[in-house]
Amino acid sequence: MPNIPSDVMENRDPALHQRMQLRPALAGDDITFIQDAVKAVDIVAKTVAFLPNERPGEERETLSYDYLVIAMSAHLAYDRIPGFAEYGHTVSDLFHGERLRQYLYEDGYNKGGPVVIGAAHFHQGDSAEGLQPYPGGCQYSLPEGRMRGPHLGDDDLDGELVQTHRQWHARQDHCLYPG
Amino acid sequence: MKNVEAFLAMATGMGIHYRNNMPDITRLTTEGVEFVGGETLEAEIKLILPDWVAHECLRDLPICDSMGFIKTNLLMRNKDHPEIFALGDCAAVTVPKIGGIGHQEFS
Repeated sequence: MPNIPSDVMENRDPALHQRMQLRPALAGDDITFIQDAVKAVDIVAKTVAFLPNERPGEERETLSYDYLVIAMSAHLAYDRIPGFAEYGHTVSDLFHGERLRQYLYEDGYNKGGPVVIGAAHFHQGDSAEGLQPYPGGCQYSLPEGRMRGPHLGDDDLDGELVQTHRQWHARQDHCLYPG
Repeated sequence: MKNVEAFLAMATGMGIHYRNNMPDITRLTTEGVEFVGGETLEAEIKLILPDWVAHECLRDLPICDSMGFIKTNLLMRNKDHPEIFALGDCAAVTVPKIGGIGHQEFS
């Protein structure tokens, strides 16, 4: 998992370090990598429809499968938080990490907080009822299941901010856990 | 939980305030963070994680739950379509949505 926060807090553009060459690594195991956008999964026909997206204007393609492993992560809904684009920061991807780095280290930053580190509520589905949580995960019950966030990695961010920027006053900072 | 308690004690000693059972975030402003119910917290820097939402191409599949996350057992296999596996944030059993659990599932 990329350690974007460390690069950001140490004034390095994470995009220059947090990259792995997937194609040759996978080719070594005889796996073909296709960069695309998945448009549909047909679990009856056992096909995946996708748009290769190296350039706009690509045609829709379809692949069939015997086994399908879905590891597409999820959509991080920053677009559902009004004001995030104008006033928010995060370290979940290279673009936002670099945006935070530039905010902290360029243009003579001298504000010093306060800082709030927190998470919007996660809306869990209903299929986990009766299952034990995945080992390393948290106990949850429906419908009260909540993402336990921010996790310790984000709490570390506040400590790093205090250590790195001597003008910070941690006593004004907050870390939030959703209820 | 001992490591969490130790970390909280250390961070609290640095003066970082912890607020548990917070309501959902309604919006960010130049002044800070606003929550459901009207509470606000002053913040110059707002470091935020959002809600996790299932991808549109998966959301309505019959192998998904009510919020579009893929139903599996703890071996990450869908019970009705055993040829389909899901791991990481798109799997329903992955709570919380963190990379460490995704790695465990892959292993």
